Amino acid sequence: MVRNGEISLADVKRIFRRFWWIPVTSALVFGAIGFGATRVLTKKYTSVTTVLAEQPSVSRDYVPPVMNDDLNQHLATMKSQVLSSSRLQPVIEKFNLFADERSTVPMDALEERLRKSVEVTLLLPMTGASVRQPPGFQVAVTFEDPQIAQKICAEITSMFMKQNVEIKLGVAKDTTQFLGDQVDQAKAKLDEQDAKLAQFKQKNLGVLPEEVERNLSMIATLNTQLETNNQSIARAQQDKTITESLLAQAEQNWKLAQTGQANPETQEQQLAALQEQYNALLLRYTPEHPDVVKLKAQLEDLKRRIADDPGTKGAMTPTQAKLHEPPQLLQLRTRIKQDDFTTTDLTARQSQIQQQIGVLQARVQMSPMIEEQLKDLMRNYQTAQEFYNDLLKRRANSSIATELETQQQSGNFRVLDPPSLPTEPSFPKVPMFLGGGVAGGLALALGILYLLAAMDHAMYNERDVEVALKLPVLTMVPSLGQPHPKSPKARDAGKFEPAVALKA
Amino acid sequence: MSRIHEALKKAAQERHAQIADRSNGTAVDLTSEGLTRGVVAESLPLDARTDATVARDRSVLRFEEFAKKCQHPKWSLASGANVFAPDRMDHVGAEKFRTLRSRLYQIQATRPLRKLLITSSLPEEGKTFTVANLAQSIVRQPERRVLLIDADLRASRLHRMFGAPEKPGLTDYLRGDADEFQVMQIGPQGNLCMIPGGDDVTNPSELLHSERMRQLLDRMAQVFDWVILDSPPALAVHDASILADMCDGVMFVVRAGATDFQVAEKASLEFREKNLLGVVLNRVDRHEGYGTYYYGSKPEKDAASAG
Repeated sequence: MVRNGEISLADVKRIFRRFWWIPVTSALVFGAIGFGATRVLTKKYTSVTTVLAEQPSVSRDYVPPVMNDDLNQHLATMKSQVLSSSRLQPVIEKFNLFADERSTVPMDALEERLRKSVEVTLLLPMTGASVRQPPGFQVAVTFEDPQIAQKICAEITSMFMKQNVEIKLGVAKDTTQFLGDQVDQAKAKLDEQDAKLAQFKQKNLGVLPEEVERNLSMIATLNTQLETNNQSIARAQQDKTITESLLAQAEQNWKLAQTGQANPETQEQQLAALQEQYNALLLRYTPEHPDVVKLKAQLEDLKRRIADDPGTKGAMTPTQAKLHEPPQLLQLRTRIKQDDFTTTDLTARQSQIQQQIGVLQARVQMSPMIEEQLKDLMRNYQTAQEFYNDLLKRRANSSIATELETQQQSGNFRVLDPPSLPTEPSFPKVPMFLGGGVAGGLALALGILYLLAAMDHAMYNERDVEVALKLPVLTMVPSLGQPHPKSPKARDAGKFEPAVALKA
Repeated sequence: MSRIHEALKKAAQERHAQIADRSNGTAVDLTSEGLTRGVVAESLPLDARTDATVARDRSVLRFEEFAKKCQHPKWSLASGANVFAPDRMDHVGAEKFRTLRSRLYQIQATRPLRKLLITSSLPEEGKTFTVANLAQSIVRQPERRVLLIDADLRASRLHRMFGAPEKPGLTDYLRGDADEFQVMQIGPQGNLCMIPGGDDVTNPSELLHSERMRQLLDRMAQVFDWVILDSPPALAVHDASILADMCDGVMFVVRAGATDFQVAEKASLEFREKNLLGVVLNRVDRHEGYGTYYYGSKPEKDAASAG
């Protein structure tokens, strides 16, 4: 008894025990139908050829392929092209296929039938092979006539071979052409970047990163020059001061000499002062130093004048005196003027050096910004150059690959087995139809058995009674092997003995 | 277990007290002719029998007198449906009816149970077969007396099981055309009696519902250990429900592999409040695990020879 659609193992056993003949009969009947179908259906023959996809004759390391290595994708592309209507129609006409139907059935429908009769399958790579690429493919053509099937198979295979070569050559040429265009564009971009870089360098001459060191060196040199210049200015000013003091002393002495009141004591004092000054300079400089040499000359001159003191000379008028100033005074005055000129010249030089230092420092300060801009330009330039070089290399490879494909007229496909001439029909196959019939019959029988089980509401055992009626089972009496009470046999058996009425 | 034991013991004691009272001179007016008899001591439990030996002996004597007045036709038991038939001793079937007998005794030990109605939901489920073989299993015990009544007045066939005459029968008695002794047949074993269906009538329900039927059952229940009624199917007619009211218990027969559980459920609902004891599952397939193990293969000894 099946409850709530649940079938227990006992139910299954019971159903099979009662209706075992249903699956047996069904399997036999449907198997016979399947077998009969193999005798009735039109036989078809399949011609098969195997095409091997060989590896390139030249190593990929030397000539990289221009096409994708995926044979599956390549085959799908070729299949769609080979099995196109424009290719199949000539095949139909060439072999006079569907001659009886061509007048009534549209050509599209015939092409579709031929297309369905062609099957292209990839060969599976060997187990454990390192390359997962399929080693080739098979072309199978199924037709009612085995010889026609063989011819169609050969034709289709040939079309595959030609299409393969055309595709590969076309792809190689297109690739080369494309890469050539790309190379031209890349070269234009590289030239443009080159011009930009040159213009930038020209514009920022002296500020470029590689000139920073030189600028810093020049600044150091100018600083040294500036320091020297400052020292020269100080020395010139000092000389002027000394010369002016000497001039003042000499004028005083000369005036005194003009008035006859030579003052030997004053000359002596002047000599002593010069001597003292000379000693002081010796402490600082060598005797060859110009200041020491000059002061020594003044000291000698003063000593000579003291020695030649004219104490006896007569007085002169100021105009005469002026007109007759000693050359010593004139020399002193000239020296003062020279010191002034020197100081002025050095001061001008100092300004010039400071200006140059300022310019150089400005350049050094600008250098990081310029360096950044230059890096951008250089980066763009290098990218353009690398791209250009890469394209050049690719174009070269593509050219070689195109040349290789041109030389290999058969592409990389090779017909391993020519199209076979089938002797046994590929359809209908007796084992398949017989097995399918038996399997279908069994499936149908199982469905019928399930329905029978689902519709069976009878009780068979103690469990069924207790679940359905919720009553205890006092005993279970086995079947005595009697025929059904309603059957004629049972009715006869039920008349155990002729019943006679008792006479009251 | 101790509670069950105590209950059985208590029931036995109560029955012993009743029997003792009856044995002290209480007589039952069994028929209109004034036949009296004592208590049926055979129904006593073993521990009670010792105390009621005198009553039992008297009862045996009186049942013999009672039996002499019954009809003694020649029975020809049909072996085809009799699991106890010597020529086809069905050990498994017989064992199952013994099991049923034991269950009934177990129930009887806990409650009054002498009048037993056997019915089913639809015809041809094995009521008559069950009635006949249950009776066979009981009367094979010593000092057990069983009365079978074919209460299926529309299609009586219990007499066929025994190869007995159909008339006169229950309809004749209920119409008043015959008395108990005229309709009651006693078999060759001496402890199995049967009242067949009798003449065909047009008003079986009215006859079964009569006070005469009730009185017959009550009187016979005092003479026999078991009064077993073979009734019509419950869903077909209302007779079984009428009879169930007069009986101590109802047993429902279900034919395995044939009776729809919905039909059986509907039919059994009517008896759920009328002492429905349980179900006899008939014609069970041997693969359904009813238990084919049977210890020994010797046929059961005849009750008489067993002493």
